[in-house]
Amino acid sequence: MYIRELKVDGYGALHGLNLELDAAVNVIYGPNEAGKSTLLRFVRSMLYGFPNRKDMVERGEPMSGGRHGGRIVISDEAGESWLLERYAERGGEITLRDGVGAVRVLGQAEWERWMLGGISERLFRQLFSVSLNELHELRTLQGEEIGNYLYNAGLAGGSSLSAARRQVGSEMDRLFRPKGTTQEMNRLLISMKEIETEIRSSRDAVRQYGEAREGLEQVELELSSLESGFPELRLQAAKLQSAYDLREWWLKREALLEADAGLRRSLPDPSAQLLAEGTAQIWSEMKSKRDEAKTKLSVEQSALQDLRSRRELLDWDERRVIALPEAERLEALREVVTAKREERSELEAERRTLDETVQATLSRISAEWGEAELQAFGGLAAEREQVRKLQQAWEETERGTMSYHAELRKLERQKEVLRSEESYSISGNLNEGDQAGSVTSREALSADDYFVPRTKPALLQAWHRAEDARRNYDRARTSVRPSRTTANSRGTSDDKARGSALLFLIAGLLGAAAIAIFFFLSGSNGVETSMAYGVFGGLLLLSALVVFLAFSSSSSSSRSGSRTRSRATSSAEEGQSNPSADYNVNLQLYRKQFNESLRQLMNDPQSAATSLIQENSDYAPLDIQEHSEMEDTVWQKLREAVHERLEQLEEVERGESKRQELRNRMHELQVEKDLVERDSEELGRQADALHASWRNWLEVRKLPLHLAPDNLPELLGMAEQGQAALRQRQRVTERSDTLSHAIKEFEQAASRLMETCPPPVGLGSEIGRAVQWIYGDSVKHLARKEEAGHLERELAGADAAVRSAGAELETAAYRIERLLQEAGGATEAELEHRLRIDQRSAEIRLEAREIQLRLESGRDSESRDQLYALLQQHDEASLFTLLSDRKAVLAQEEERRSGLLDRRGRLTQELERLRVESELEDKRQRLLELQSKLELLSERYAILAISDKLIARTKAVYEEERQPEVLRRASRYFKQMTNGAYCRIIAPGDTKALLAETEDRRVLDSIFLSRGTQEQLYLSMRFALCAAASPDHPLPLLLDDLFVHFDESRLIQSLPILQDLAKERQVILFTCHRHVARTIAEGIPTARAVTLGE
Amino acid sequence: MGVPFTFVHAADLHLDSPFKGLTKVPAAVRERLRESTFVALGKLSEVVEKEKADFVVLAGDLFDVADRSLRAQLRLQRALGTMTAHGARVFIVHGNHDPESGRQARLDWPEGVFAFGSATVGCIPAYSRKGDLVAHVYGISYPTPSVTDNLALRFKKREGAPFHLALLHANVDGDPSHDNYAPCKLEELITSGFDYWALGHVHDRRVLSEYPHVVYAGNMQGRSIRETGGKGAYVVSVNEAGSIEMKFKDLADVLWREIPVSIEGMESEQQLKNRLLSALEAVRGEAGGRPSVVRIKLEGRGMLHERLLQPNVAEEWIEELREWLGEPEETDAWIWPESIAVRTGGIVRLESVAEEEGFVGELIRGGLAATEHSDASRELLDEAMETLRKQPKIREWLESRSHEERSQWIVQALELSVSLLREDRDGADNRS
Repeated sequence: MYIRELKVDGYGALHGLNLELDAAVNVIYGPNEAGKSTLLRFVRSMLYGFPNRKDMVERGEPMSGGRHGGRIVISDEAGESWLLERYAERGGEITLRDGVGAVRVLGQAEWERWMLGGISERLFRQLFSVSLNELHELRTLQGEEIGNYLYNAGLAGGSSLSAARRQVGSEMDRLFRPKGTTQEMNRLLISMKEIETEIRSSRDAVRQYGEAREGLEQVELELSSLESGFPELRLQAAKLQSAYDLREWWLKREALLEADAGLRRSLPDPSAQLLAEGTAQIWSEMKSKRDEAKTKLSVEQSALQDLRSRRELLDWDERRVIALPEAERLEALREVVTAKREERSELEAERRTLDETVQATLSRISAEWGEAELQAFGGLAAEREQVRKLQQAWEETERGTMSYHAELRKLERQKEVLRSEESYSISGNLNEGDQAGSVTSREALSADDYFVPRTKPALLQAWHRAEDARRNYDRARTSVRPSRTTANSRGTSDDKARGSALLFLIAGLLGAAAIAIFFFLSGSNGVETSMAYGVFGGLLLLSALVVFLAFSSSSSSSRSGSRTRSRATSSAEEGQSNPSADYNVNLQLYRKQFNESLRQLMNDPQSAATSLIQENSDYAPLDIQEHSEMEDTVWQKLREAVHERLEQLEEVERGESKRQELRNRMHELQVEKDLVERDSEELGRQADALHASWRNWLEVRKLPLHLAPDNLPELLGMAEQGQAALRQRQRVTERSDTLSHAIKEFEQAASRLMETCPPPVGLGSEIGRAVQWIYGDSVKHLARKEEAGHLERELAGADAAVRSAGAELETAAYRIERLLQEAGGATEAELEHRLRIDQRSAEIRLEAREIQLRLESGRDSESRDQLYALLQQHDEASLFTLLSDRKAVLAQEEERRSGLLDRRGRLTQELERLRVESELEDKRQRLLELQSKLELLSERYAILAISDKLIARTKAVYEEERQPEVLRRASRYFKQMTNGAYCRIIAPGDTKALLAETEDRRVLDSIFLSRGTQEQLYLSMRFALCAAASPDHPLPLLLDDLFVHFDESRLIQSLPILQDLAKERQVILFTCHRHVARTIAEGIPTARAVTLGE
Repeated sequence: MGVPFTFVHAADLHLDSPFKGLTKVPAAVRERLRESTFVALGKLSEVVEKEKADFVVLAGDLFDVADRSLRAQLRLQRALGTMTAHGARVFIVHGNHDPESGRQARLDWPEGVFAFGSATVGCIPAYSRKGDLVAHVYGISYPTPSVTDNLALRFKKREGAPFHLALLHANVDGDPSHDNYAPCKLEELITSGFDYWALGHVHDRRVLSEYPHVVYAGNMQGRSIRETGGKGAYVVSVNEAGSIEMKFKDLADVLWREIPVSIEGMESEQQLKNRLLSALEAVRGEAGGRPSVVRIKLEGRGMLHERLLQPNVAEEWIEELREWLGEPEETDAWIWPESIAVRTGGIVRLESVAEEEGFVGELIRGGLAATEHSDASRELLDEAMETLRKQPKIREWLESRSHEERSQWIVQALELSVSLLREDRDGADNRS
């Protein structure tokens, strides 16, 4: 691309500037502030757009007017040129006009690709639009893009390569940095190290556990041995303690025992045992008992004396006492006898009254009766029963006679009724039926003429037979009909026969229907039997008519229809071949049978038929149709006649049976009447017998004969009354006798008593009072006797009491004696002294025993002995010393034990802690998790690193292959510029440095070169890179005063290089040094010099 | 042959083992995991009781570290106490994780537990519960964490028992995924005359041979994403005729799972979310009520690839996923998404990009070349990780990575580079 013309509208200090740059090498000279650098920036802005306002210098807002922007004319190698137009106000939009005026509006990217060969703005600035600043950038090769671009063709300017490496690199940096601390992997590594340290420090857990357990076992062992020693120690201490505590008591006991011994010594026999406990009490009891016994004895003796004197005062008469029971009995009877006497006199009066009553009754009954008769008037109940029965029989007889009479009258009436009914029934039959064949209806009579059978079954049988015969006949005829019709189809007889056959069939059917209907109706509905009969008869007659018609028309109306028959036969003969003969014979046979059966049915079939169908007979000769109809009619009529006849027959039978019944009833009535009469006579005889027996009964009892049985109850009542009076009188008499006897007995006994116990004078005459007195006296004597007995018994008791009191006294004395003997035969005083001593002794001993119990309780014999030994051997002070020593030992041991227990607790806790901690221990897991994470990240890192490494390697390959060309070219330029002072530029792959090789093969790092030489080296590199960077679209090279540090000779040396470059691309040089401009213009003849600011 | 008997073969209890690969674990998960080895041990006791085993053999690595944490010791002591109380004797050898040289602070074994020493191969008669001699049990423990001698050769059969059981912690035929301690050959074991080699060390259970049986019981509880699926112990029944019946009992309390999820054909995050959730639900269904720790491996090529490669995206996804699944405190059968491994590719295949001229092509060619050889990948990694290698922990870890892992990283780095370089990055121009 060549820049042909610059047209600045407004940019920085410039405006309205037009500059033609049509040469290969253009030198633009201008003093300072002429606008050279501004022009350079203007070109960059035209090609790459206006920067935003952050970079106001580069943006170049017009300072002295003009529209911000401008135009440049460019052309390609082929010479085609475009006018490019770019204004800031249009947002950097590029307007391109070609030679013929066509306008294109382009975007920046499109523009760069199309005309700038994909060189980025940055690369353009570094390689093509270079000022001194940019020149030095190359020294550090910071513009890696350039390198990338160099080594990597076809990668869109190499930006993606560096972007990829940047991306990879940044991710790697995030993951890990050699000395970093915040990167993920670095952090992981640090954490892992920490955990590892922890693990190392916690490795001793097992050992600790083991030690703790061993320690625990040791402690347990010690504890158990300690525990086993404890009881003995404690026991000893306790013994000492108790000995110490009990010492007081022991001393007391010793004193008591001493006192006791003293007491005993005061006794005559100091060694004597204590008397049994309670002896003192017994002794005093005994003494009091003896005193009591003495007192009691004297009391009893005085009581006995008193009783004896009382007994001697009592006296009584023994006889009186013996007589007392008799006197008592009589005294009891005395009142009774007085009462009996009064009763006897009352009874006498009553007897007399009863006598009168009897006499009165006798006179009322019969003059002839005395008391004997009355007595003899037997058992009244039996008599009464006899009379009652008689009376009853009498009444029954009378009632029987009356009922017989009534029955006879009733029978007579019934007979009368029957007779009238009989006569009525006879007169009814005269209208409805016949009686014994004497009376008949007209129709029945006429029917009688037709039919032979006189009874219903016979008639039915005959009729059925006739029907069967007709059917047979009919069938016989029809059975051959087909052959005949085939043989010859004409012949009236045949037709007729057929017709008649049809008639027969119809008649049969009708008959059958009639019968069926009959049975149906009669079976289903008895009420309509008469109607059924009617229908039945009608149908039967009809069938009979039909039969008849068939009969007459078809064949054997022999007597009347010979003509027809002959014609039929002839026609049959005519038309029939041999087989028909047989048929004829058959037909004949059936016909005969039919006739026969008809004859059996009727007296005169022919005439009967005629009479039956007299109105229709003239149809006989009519044509077949009519004929057959007539046959049907005849047979039907016949059937009706038969059925009518059957009906009549039934009617007659019914009437007869009714009459028979009436006659039977009449006869029964007669028989009954005879029987009643006979019974009535029998009853009359019984009544007579009864009368006789009644009279006889009266006679026997000497009763008036006029008495009727009706009077008898009255008579009987009086008799009964009489008899009752009699019996009463008898009882009164007997009672009176009894009383007299009892009184007599009493008087005798009283006199006997008075003999043995004479009452006081004056009373002897009055038996009652005497008895009373004797009784009172006897009672008194008895009382005295009893009192004496009582006193005697008391005397005996008192005597016994005296004796026992004496014995008691003796016993008491004896026991006192015994006691004294036991106590050593001493006197009572001595005993009492001893008792006192003993009591005191016992008290002392009891106290001593209590103390001993206190000392010895809960101790076995051994420890008891030990205790006593201790008490005896040690005084209080030494005991106390012993005790406190032992206590100190015990306390020491206790302390040791609590220490051990404490230790055991701690060790157990330690073990538990270790166990729990071990359960919670997860450092290794955490470590491994970190490790896993680290591995994951390492893997990612490895992938990234490999990726980076591969890119780097490939890039290195590219450097190997492509770099020499650039360097060769750069070396050539450098050698040219330095006039051979340096012959080569070296760019090692592993560093960013650029080396320069001198003529004499010395290699210098470019940073050590002089500034001018440095700039020459960089320029050489730049020129070489330009060629490599835009081989397809050679971009113009804009150099802003790069030669200021060149000496003249090196500047001149550089000119051929510029010339050389200008062959490929446009070169535009800016300078503010006139000599530079002149030198170049002189050195390059084709160069165009432009002066700015003039 | 003899009396029938039953024994339980377990190994590699790794009690109180920490769990690898967990980050930002909530308390419920951490607690459950921490208890899981002990829970498995408890289940082992139950199996011993239920099966009425006559004895139990534990083939080394009872503890996770030589130090033997106090908790592990206490718990093991208790569990062994339970087993012996049920009438089963227990035979123990120690392995590389819990060698004899471990710190001496240790608790006593309960009565009925026999731990073999490290000096010589011991021989202890084993009795049935009824008291019949049923087998000779031989064993030797590791004196130090690293035993490179062939211990198996020291085992010599001693006659006098109907059955001979060798208990050893060893790597048979040099399993590359485990440290090659006590190396020995299967052939040697088979021809040694023992009836049953109860082995430990390899964490995947496997039966290397039958008659004689050479068996790894595997560990009882998975401890990282590399130990997935059911884990447990063998209940071995030997009948009168000497024939052996083995039953595997799954004792693991927490399951580890790695589930692949392809992003192929996915266009939106929602689709990915749905697919992830359904995959996790499937895991929940298969876990049978046990909790699971799950690593999701995103595979395949799809549009979401570049988004997944952005920094922290996988991290964000896992966070989201955990949120969707709800708090593990809420259920016993929780699922804890441990991580998302992004192994996806862009729509454009690296191989086709490698064909291109230019920088990217050159880059991929170089990268792919490094995946070809172990040395090349190692060199590239070492070079790239120069700065990190100064950290001993990371260096150690990096050095223990396999070529496959390194290649995987390189491929991912290439994917990342391509996605970065392919982006249209027009210069962030400040001109208007």
